[in-house]
Amino acid sequence: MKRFQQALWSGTQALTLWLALAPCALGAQEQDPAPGKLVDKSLEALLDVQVDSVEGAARHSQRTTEAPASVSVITANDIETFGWRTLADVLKSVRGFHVTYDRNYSYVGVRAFGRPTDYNNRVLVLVDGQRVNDSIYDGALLGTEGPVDLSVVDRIEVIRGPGSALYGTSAFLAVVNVITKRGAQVGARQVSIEGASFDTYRVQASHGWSDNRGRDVMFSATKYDSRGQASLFFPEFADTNGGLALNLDGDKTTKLLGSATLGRWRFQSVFSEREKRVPTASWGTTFGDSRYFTGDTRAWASAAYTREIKGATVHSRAYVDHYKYYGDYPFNPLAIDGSLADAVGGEVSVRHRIGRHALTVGVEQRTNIRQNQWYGDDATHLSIDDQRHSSELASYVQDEVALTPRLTAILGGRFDWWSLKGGTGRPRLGMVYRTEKDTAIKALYGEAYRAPNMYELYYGSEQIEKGGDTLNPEVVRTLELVVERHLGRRLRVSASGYDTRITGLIDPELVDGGGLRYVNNESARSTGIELEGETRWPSGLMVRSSLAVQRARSATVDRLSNAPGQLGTLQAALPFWRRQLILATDTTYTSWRNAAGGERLPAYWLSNITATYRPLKWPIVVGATVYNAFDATYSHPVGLEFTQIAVQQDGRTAALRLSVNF
Amino acid sequence: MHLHGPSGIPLVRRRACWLAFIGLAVGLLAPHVSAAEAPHEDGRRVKALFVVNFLSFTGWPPSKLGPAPARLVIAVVGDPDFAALITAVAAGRDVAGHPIVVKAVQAPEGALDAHLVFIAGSQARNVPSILRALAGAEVLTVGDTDGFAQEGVAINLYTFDSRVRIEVNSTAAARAGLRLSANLMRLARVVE
Repeated sequence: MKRFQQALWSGTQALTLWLALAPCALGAQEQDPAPGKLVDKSLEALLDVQVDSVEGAARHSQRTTEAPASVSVITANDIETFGWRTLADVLKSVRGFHVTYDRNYSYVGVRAFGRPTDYNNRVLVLVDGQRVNDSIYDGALLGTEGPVDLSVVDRIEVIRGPGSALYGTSAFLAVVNVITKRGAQVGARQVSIEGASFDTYRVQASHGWSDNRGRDVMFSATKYDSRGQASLFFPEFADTNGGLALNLDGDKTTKLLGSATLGRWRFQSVFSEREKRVPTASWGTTFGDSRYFTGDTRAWASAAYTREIKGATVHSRAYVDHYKYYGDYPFNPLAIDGSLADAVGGEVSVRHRIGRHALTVGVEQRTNIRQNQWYGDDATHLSIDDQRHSSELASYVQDEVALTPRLTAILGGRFDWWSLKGGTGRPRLGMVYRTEKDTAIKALYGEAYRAPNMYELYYGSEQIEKGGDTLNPEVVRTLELVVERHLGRRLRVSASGYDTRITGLIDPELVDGGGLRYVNNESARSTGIELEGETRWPSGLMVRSSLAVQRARSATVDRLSNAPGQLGTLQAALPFWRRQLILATDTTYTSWRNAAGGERLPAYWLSNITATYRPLKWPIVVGATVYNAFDATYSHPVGLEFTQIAVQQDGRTAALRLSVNF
Repeated sequence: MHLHGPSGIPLVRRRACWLAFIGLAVGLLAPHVSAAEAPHEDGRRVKALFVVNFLSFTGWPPSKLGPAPARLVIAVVGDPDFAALITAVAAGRDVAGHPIVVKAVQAPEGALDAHLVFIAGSQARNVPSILRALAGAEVLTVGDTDGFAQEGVAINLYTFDSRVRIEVNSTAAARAGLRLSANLMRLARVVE
């Protein structure tokens, strides 16, 4: 408690000093013009006005990307054109990101950091401002386990680096901000069905409604069921049933989403549950046993209120949040594993423009009512029965100052405090410089802090030693430079370079006896250069391509595992036949990577081809995608809990979808 | 868990001091830099102002727009909120004696009598059919979605680093029988 008080006092001192100085920075400035005056501005003057919320129609926009970071935006149109089915599919094709799948969960690596079985705890995923990362693993669900169906997504903003003070826990390497559609965008009624390889079926129905008086409602329900591969071969288990896992790849999920906007209020409720059979005999379970399942349930309900008061935008939000995980592990006998987290929380932020400053101040609070983890033979014989509760508090301030018409400084600080782990404050600093011709140069320095999660701290079984008091938080410091430019009429290019250092990286290591232990594994560093270009032609042709050259190493390991040195992406879409038919390809290149033990996994190209047909006369959309069109054979490295060093991924598969609006 | 940095000063206090120092530095620096004031505004409002402004920079054939006080009609397809915003912004204004009228429509057929049609992002997949429906109606098409200008919308608003900018498809404007003022073309990126 005393440490918290000290920290709170320091934070308040800093905040007070900053707020006291901010108005002084105005000096002899003119007053902020009344909104009416903007109307009289000429076209030239309008071109000079700096705007806040930039993207699309979202009136109650969540924290928009004011950070001088490198941001990628993926639209609903992209998702349909390239046949992406989950958030993992989308992130695979984002510059500098790579995704691995161990036939249970999907994991994302950012800038060559992709630690084995980290449950994506270093990437913050938000859906309409709600934190998707749970309170046990701080994990983000990206594959079919993800909380929303992609058909309700309006756009996804991927913000690299810990660049913005607005985002806290888990905003370590990147923030993925998923924004869902409004009722007005969905249309009255829509039903879609999809069939794909391995007996996969998906049915989705949504309903949207809106009127002219600021009311908007949207519902969506999805059911997905896949039998998965009938037979999977794992040479490491060749002595059991010939190494064949039969019918052990099944995947089912149900997702529900409802949101309503009523004037200044916005309500949302999400429910998602997913169950997967696991064929890989990970954690030393019996190979070929059909009782190996994991299930994840994620749900929340939130209410938000946004209001303009005298030129300031006040945004407030409250929510209840639920996460449940269960796993049936076929050891002899069957073991059950699970966790449960319930929380309530809220946040308030105020955004105000004072002369050349745009100041955002916010406070977030979260009470974790329950953070339970258990493991054992059955409910009465639990060898782990950890039940905790905790609370979190965060405050942040961010100021964007127009130092000159071309140069903007963005200064922020964030203070996070956890009742179980203490707290710290971290700065975020950036500068953006605009040259005459559509060119922006951004320099960023950011620091972020990741406290070990409940799983790393308190979960201890025969397999995993408790981290407890020996685990210290990780700290990341990133220095980044980004240049963005339009060349000529049709081409947009960007180049960025970064140097990211993590101290105290929390990694699992093997201990004698075959168990795992989480330790602060020295320091790690990732450096890289990324290039991206996009071009659009009058015919409708769109080509986007990127290359990332990156390297992640630690003091003792020259090349971290799961750290591909080069990543390339290519997306191209070409419309035909009066734009009724669009042919598109989404191709990625991943260079060789090391598996956990240093074994080398070869490089691969992966190409998906999608055709989308939208006839002018009927309100239907027909889509067909061939995934891994050239049947590449490739594997993803897996964590230390596997006997295998890597798991082979699917060969060529296909999907056909039809959606009807009526 | 210890929160002391390498120098032994409690980490929190060190960071807070640093933050305060930066604040002080910027606070002192800012007044010394002579700069025009650059206020921040709501992006949608600025776009609404652009749309109204475009009326002053476009010439319609006399068959389409008679002499004042003939009304100038703006139709917004697919975004009733934005139509309301344009109405608010255009209140009390006129263009060379022509009053401004704004309406929200669901389908392009309802916009054939308009002089300027704003196509909202929600209509992205219908752009070709909307443009076909408006062909021959001598209408200035305006949008604010990536790729619209390339698809044939005459003026598209895009945002580049917190500022709203204009890109123009002059072929599309010419095909619609409209004349775009040189003062507008000078400020825009010409896509076609």
